[in-house]
Amino acid sequence: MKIAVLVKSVPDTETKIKLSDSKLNQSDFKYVINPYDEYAVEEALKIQEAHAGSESIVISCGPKSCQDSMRKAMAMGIDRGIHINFEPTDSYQVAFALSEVLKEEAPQIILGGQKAIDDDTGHVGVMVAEILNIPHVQVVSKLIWKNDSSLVVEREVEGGMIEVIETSLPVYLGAHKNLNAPRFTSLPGIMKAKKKPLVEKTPGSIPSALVEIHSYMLPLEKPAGKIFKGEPVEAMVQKVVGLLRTEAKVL
Amino acid sequence: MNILIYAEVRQGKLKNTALELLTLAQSLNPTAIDIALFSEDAGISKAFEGFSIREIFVISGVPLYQNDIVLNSLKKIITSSSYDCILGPASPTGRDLFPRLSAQLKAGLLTEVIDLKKENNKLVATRPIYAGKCLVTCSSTTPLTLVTLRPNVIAIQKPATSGSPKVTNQVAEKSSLPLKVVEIRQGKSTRPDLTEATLIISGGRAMANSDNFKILFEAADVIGASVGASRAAVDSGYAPHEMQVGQTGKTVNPNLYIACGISGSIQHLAGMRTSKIIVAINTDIDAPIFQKADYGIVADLFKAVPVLTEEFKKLKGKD
Repeated sequence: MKIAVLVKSVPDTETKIKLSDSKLNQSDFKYVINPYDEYAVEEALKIQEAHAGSESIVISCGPKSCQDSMRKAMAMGIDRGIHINFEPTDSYQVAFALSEVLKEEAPQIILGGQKAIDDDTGHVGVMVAEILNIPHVQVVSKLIWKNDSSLVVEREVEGGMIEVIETSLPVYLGAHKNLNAPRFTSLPGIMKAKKKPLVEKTPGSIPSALVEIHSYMLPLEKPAGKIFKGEPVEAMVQKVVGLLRTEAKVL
Repeated sequence: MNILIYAEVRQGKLKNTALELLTLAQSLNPTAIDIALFSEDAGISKAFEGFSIREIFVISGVPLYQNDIVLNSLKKIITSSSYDCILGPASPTGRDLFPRLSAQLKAGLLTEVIDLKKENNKLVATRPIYAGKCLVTCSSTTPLTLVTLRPNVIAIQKPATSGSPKVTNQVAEKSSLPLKVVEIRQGKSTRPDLTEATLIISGGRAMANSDNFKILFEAADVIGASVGASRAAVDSGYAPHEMQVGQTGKTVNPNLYIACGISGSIQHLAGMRTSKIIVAINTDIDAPIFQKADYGIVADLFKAVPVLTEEFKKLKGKD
């Protein structure tokens, strides 16, 4: 079985966002592999381990810096990497570029994180599935093999409901946090990853972006709140409930 | 400008987001608003009375919300008319449908939008990025614009116009992908969904065990709130994952968020910072949550929450 994992490099969750002239100031950004993508990598490795003779590939589209995330995936155990060296302006361009490579590689399973934590959209995997005309399941929390060509997956939807979905291969699956526990990278793993093949590709013609960004803004900071302390608990709670009703008008 | 709204129905009920989308659509002063409603019961469209709507498509025959069938049916409606904008909810279904529509129709996609305006005849959306630490304004470069709206961002306003829309009944298109939803079952949580809840009470590591969450549920029951948890509480096994609010959990947007024993890590704030009013209850006055709180109580949550429940009961008695 051939398994492909799509990864993205994103700024660390602790990153402070600064703007210069309504543009993002990325000089302090420290990039890490998108946290949800680690669950996708782990699931790919689990599938590979369960199916003898399988091969796993990590694919990423972006600037050179995304190779760090690809090496991380290879340190966890992915066999090889394909880096599409291209700086996209919207998710459709990423999906298009990834799909071109996926058409050549023709994996049976494509995995990715259910969304990236930087732009917070979750578009790319679903768009890839549409371009390749294959099914997708997003926010996957459980995966059971029926046989070598079909799967039962579970995903969480609103109201705590679980959807149980049967799908045949090839398929795109967007990994959620409770799918598995990603393994740690070992030092030998990191050393081995350095020697694994990582091919750099320049994409062919990419369609123009469907979305344009106008400006960035920082959200308005809230004025300091009313904090009660040192009084009897009953009095403090009563005051706050009163304010919620009369001042904030939310109760 | 012609707008089509994908009005979501779940478990036989029209979602509130449909009326938010209608309110938003009307604020854009369009030529016409149509609605696509996937339901076996056309009576559901009564909820749209008072809004000025041209046509309601009621599509029946979708087994268990199967998305490729919904997608094919939606596409048929979209391509048979001339729409400038398709609006839908930023819900699990919306997140499945809209990226596929975008790739198929090559139409610009703006999702998780919190504001949408018409500027120089162009739709300009505002959406949060970096977990709400930054906002971006963006628009589509294509004639058709696809937009999904975050729940709870628009105050529903009915213009109370008379006149009734044309209702067209349709049967859903066929499935085109080897995928089938075989079952939908209740997970561990039975509360209103956090992402659409207007009132939320959340517990953190200080809850100390899963049994203690009982006091949050008691308070929540009085005011009809949902109950959430921080990652620390979920990772410690005090609450199931579907209750987690934060960067790797759910992004919530309620009118009132009460954080009990939650310190307010950057990951937690990422999931709830857009709450309209934040109340923090914590013993540690230096907890970062107090910097984001509109109201704070420096106290032991196990003393404060039962009082809160009693106060809520008094309040509800008055109404």
